[in-house]
Amino acid sequence: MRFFGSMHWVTGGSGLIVGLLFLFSSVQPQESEVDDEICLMCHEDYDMSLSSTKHRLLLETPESVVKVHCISCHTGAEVHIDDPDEGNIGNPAKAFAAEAESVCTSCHQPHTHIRAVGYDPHFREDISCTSCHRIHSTNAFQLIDEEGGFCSVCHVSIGNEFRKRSNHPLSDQAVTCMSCHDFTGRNEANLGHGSNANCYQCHPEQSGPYLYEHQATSSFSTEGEGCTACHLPHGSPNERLLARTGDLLCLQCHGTPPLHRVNHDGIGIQFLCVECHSEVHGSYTHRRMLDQQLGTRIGGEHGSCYCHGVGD
Amino acid sequence: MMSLKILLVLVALVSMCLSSQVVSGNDYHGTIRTGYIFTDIEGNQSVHQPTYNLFDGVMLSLEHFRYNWDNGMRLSADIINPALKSRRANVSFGRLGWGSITLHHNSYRRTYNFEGSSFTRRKTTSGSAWIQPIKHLKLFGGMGVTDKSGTSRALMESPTDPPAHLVDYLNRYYHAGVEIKYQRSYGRFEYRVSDYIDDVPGSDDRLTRRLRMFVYTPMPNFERIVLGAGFHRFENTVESKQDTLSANTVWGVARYSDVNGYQIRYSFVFDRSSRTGDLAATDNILQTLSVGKTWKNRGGIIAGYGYRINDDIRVERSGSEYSISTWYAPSKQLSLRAGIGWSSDNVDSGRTLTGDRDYTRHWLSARYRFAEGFVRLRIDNLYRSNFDIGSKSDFFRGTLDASISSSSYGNVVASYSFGDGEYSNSFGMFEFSEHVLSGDAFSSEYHRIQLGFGGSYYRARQDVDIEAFSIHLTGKYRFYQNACLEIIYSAHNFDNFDDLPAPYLEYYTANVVEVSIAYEL
Repeated sequence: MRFFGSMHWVTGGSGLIVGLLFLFSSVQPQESEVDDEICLMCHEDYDMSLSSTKHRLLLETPESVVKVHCISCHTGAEVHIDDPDEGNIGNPAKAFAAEAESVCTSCHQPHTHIRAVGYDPHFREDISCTSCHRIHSTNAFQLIDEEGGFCSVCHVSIGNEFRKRSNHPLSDQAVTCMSCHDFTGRNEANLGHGSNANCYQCHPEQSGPYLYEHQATSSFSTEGEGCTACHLPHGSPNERLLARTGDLLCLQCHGTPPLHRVNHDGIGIQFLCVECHSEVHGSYTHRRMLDQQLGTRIGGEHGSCYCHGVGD
Repeated sequence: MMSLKILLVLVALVSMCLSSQVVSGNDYHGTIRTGYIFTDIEGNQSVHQPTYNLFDGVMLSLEHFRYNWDNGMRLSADIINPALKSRRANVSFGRLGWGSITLHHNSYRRTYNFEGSSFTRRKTTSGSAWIQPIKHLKLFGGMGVTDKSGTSRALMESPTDPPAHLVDYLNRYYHAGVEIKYQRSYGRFEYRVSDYIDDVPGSDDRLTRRLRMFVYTPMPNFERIVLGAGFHRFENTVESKQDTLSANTVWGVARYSDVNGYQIRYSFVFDRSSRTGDLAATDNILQTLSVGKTWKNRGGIIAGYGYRINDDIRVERSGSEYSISTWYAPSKQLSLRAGIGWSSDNVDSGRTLTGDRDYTRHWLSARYRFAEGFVRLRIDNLYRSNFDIGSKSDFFRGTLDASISSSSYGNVVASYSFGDGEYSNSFGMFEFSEHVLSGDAFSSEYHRIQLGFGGSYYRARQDVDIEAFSIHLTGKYRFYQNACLEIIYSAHNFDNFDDLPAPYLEYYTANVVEVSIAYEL
């Protein structure tokens, strides 16, 4: 019932905003220096490719609050009309990144922030807005691939990571690339609000903070690297996105205390580290991150096990 | 109940579409699909992730629905199988420059044991909206809820034991903010709250708050220089323990770029994170400088340097990072890219478990384009070393992929990745090599028939010995101008060849047949 109760807030709030939506609209269109009709005389039907998009030409919707003309993106039209050479007209799809960016960000300013903050590596290599967005396209957000698989068009090796034994549910579209790769620099790694906070948005049950922290899980501490110290977020040959199997994962950082492993091996069961130290993300009850029900899980009484009494 | 609500939305959308098609200037497109999914599953249901969320039953979907009103209002909807528990929906409605509303729902199951009786289901429902009351101002906000419940298992817990880990939580989240833009200046302020309520006895509720603001602007009279700065506060509180993790982050950036392709960028980040349960705070300070030059359509190079300090009084680390990446296009057909980055991270004072660290990464890619597609090769290598504890990891990956498209015959995409990993420490070594082959082919329509074939094959060897594959065959017959019959047969298989005891046996096979009729609106 709580779930549906929350739904009422979602739908109610949305309804309120729908109402507000239609109360506001005041911006008037501006006149173009070169009429779109002149462009369309040669570039026949190019307006059709824009008609169902945000870039619908102003001549089709004179009351539109957004003033889009051909020359909004294609600069240099006056010269191009006199000499219709391809080189005489600006084309963001063929320009190099800095030029394309300056055209697109004259309206889509949040994208300027991406580059200003500099966490997005795309701009480093002359990959610009038009590398992912095809403006004369009817796809959602004018993306190259409407299914959201457009990232793996270039990042094929990463796409193949999602075909391993365990992976994030990209194929079910329960997550997308941009669920984690926010592009706006919100979640830079190794900071208090960093990559872990990104993970905790979907995995809040692991988020702590714990009285007894496992420092490896902390993205900002002097010891830790965050969730990705143990988990491979795209895909892994092991269960639960783990980088290594069994004890090897723990032993990557922890040397085995003398006799500790030998004695437990002696039982003949070969306990794994996580069978006793099950609170691997952190614990409120034990600084060794021992299982709260250790005794009942592997024999003996609650709070103890075969070899050690309560309090040992 | 949720299925019914989504179903009603679907029916309403289609009715609206069909009833208003005569209105001049409005246009729409989309596909209605109905049919049935048949499944035949055998083996351990917890081992093959692509089929965790697979259900048989009635298919009814509205796919890629877009309705555009003549006045600039737009409606888009993707409502996939509301009658099934694997349903998902995205509906968006808005008007350009005025505002927009987006609603989203998704339901996902993850299974944990052999017969699939132990599972968790995560249901996410959210809505967001923005309005633009005046040209320079945009208000936005939203809310959502994630409900996850079921039973899961601890790692390596015997599948024969009764499910031991109950999962039952509700996570509500809200956000609101404002965007201001004036000419080429931009500012944004947003506040997010997440309220996590865990109903499992002995578990703790949490409240997460996040405040984020930033502004950037070209420097007056020096438009080529962009300045930016921001502040971020993050707080995560376990209410029953009165324990809070908080982080305050300040950053700034200055970037110069010109039309000749030169760019210089400097940035700094200062972050202080602390817990109420710990007297010491941790400072993270990062400064970066990069310089680059791009030659239009020919190539470019950029080099960067970063210096990082990580200090919690008891321990201080510092490290330097270097990177160089370059691209070169000797012709319109061929482009080459390469990069190398390395960092060294040392413990300057105090003692840590993992000690000093070194990272190196290098990569190389080459792409050759031709009229119908492209062929590309990419090689990656990642290396990490912790000298003090004798631990290192070395990972190599190579990928070859190709895409060929022909308007006469159809499309083919294929890729092959090879990976080789080696993790070693003072105790032992974990090695694996992996092969991933994937591809899809879809023919053009011929005598109203289209055929497709695709799938992926995964093989891991050495310390893990796993094989998994999924294949699908598609047949499509257009029996009416806008309608077609589509049949998809998929087979999924998973085998772990390690000698595992009976309760841990890991094999899985699923045969899935989807029969549907699709009608294009």
